[in-house]
Amino acid sequence: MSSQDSNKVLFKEILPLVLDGEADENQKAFFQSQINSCPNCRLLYEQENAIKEFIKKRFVRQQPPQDLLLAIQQQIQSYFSVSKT
Amino acid sequence: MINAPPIHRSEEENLQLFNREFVPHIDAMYNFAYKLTLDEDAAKDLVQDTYLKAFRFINSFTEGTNAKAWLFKIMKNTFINEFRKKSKEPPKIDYHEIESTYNSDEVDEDITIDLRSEAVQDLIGDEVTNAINSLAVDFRTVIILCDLEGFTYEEMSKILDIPIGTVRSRLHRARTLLKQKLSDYARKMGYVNNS
Repeated sequence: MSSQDSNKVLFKEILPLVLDGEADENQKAFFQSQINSCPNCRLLYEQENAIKEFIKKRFVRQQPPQDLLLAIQQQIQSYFSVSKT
Repeated sequence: MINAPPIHRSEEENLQLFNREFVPHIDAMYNFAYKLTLDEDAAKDLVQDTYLKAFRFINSFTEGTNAKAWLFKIMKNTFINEFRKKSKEPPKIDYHEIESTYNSDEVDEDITIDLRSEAVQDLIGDEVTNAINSLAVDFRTVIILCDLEGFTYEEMSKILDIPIGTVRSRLHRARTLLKQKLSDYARKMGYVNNS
């Protein structure tokens, strides 16, 4: 495997760590040098980052029913005999 | 997280702590419960059970530590122990079976989908919700914890009781499956990925 190929393999391994905010300083430095020197690595980063952002933006959050908190507080009161604050 | 040495507080102090530390996470808890059960009534029950357990074990909670992760761990355990067997979730497939299936050479690990343009994102629309919901619950869970709730790998490891290496591999598999589903959908909608 050429050094270019092995760098690409390493880049793919490090990419999720960078996107998830888990990369250490050495990994960040390697990542930065790769996206500066390897157009395919930059493209891959941009695509993976877009997917992560897309999930955040479009994955619908379910809102709790309005009476849920009240029901929990009432259950706590009756189960544990504590008074309302 | 639930095994810390008990701290003694009055019931009044516990209730104040509960309202201050746990109640603000109710939206995230309900959302997680819904994503686990895929059923509104079951999600409501799961949130109630989780909060009741959190109150019951509140003396094991250390103020100032990560209340949200603590609640997520209780919910995950409650779901596994009590809800999974009676929920509408299809019978659980052995996780290791799934993992080895997707580790095989038949799966294209390099699959990608180009969502950089708004036009493609609009084309795919809310399909991401359907695609994530259709993943097996273990894969769905890591996507929610990481990408939606922003937990660190270490927090996820504690919530799920799995090593960090397993968190990483499970996330990788989940994302590969998700990309596969979104890519198939985009193709069906007439978008051809030119990469």
